[in-house]
Amino acid sequence: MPETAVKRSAVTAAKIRTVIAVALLTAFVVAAALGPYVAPYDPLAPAPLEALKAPSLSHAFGTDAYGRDILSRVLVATRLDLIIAFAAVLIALTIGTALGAFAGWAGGWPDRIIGRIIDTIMAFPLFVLAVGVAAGLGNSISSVIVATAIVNLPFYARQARSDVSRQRKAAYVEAAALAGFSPVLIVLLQILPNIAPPLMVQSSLNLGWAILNAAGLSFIGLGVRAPQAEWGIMVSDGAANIFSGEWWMFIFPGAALMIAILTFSLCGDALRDLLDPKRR
Amino acid sequence: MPTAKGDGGGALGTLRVIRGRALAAAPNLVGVVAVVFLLTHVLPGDPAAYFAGPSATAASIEETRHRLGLDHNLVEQFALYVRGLAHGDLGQSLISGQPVLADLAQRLPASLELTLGALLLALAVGIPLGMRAALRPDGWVDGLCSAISTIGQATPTFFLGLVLVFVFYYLLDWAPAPLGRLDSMLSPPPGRTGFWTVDAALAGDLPLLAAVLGQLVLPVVTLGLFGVGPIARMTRASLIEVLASDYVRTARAAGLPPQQVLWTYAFRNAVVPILNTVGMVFSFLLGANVLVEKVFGWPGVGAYAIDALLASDFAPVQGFVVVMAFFYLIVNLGVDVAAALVDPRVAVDA
Repeated sequence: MPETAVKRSAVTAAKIRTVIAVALLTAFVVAAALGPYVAPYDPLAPAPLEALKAPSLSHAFGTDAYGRDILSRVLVATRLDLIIAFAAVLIALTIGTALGAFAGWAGGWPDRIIGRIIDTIMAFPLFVLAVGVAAGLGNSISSVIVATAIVNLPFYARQARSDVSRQRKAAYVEAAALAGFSPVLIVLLQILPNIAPPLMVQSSLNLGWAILNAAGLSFIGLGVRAPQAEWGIMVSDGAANIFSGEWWMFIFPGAALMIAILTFSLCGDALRDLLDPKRR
Repeated sequence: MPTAKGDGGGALGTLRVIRGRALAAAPNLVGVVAVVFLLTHVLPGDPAAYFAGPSATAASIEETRHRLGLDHNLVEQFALYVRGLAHGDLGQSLISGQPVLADLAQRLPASLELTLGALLLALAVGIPLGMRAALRPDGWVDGLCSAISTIGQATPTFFLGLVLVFVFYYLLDWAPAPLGRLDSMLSPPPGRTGFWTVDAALAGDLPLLAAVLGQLVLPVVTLGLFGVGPIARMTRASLIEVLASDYVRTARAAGLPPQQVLWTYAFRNAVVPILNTVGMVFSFLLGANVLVEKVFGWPGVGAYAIDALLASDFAPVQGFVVVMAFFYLIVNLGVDVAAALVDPRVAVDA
């Protein structure tokens, strides 16, 4: 664990970063789990008398145009934003790795077809493709998840493909084949554990990007619907009030978004240091 | 940019490189068209109802089905779609009542002016920053470089845009209102390019040029900031590798002036990875344009697509996705060709 690592060795910048990353990650996970229970106010109930109040002791982050408490909404939104990001990355990781591993193992025409599909996804500006997919699937949270998963998929597929095709000829793989394992079992039980670390690092880095992508989609009005609390749509709501100076409406959800993205990218870096000290 | 000499043999070699790269890109073009077709024709739901819009009646849905050829089988539909595309037919917008291609063409200069401005900014800041960082690794410029890159990647473009508007328009009142390409009191410059900076400059109207540039500053900075990080980081990494090479050591040992070693020997050899990063950054800029246009009320293709999307007018959204993907393919082609011309080794590898 990082805490003991810090005690044992000299405190380096990288270690401090890791501790910060883990602390922030813990905070986000706790907020996602307990947000609705610890939020001081109902995140959805309008309170017209409290509308557009600046941050104060009773409303630490102020209130929005309906008098809803921004702090409560930012807290409660954590769960939705993290669920969207985790679901998207999990789908991309699973399907991308499966496709890439199959292409890398089989070679030949399956490799060419899968490679062509991946190249086609990458031929789009990714956010534009995400907008197109989310629009095509219909305006819902699950379309935002699928759209985000699709644009993330190529990174896993490429990584898994090159790793599997490299490991294929390794002695341990040939040994497993001689021992009578089927190709599926060899890939799942023998190769996958060996190629997992870079995929894990990629996932952590991608989580931040998935949050960014999903928030961007909801900022332009895709996916999350109005009363529901989500960081992207809250920033979008706050944008309307910039001209009257109610800065707290967009600053706090935007800051939550930024810190979340930063957290996952720090975690990705930390994970990379941990799993592969030679790289970097 | 230096031109390639020898080897392939001048203009003919250049043409051969372009042809080779274009052929390599062709399958992607087919893929892009197929994906956009699939997005609207195979997904759940009735595409006729989809294109007829939210206020369609049963009769108008049938009419749309017939007009778009949706009563044919899927293969015939795809052939119809491709034939339409080849003739520049992207369908009709329900909101504007215009052909989508005409709508997009009218708004494209606004988006391109923004995107190219942001790309220029990212290059103008990123390359010198990366070079300085490479010359003194672990110096303060190097630290600045990685800080900018980390922050740039963690900042949602739309959030950065709003912060800049709040600070520079609302608080300081230095920037003009974020409401489009020009103050509504002024009339746009005459001219055909549609790039208002160019048109105003050609018309010799300096106050107008200043007004146009004033509107551009905040959106361009918002969009450009993300690009600075990747470009600076790649310049740094690529240059550090080249500076450690034998030929740079030889050039230095031979007593060539440092500037000549840096530009003629090192930078030119470091440029290919940087070019590839520029392609990647361009892809991001085309996507983020959508968000920045929304924040700044910029009347470009992204804002057009969003407005259409929210009104359930899908032909413009589909057209927007196709046109942006075409653009990106062309940019990648340009990057590939430029890379092959700058560094003939790339052309040989491919």
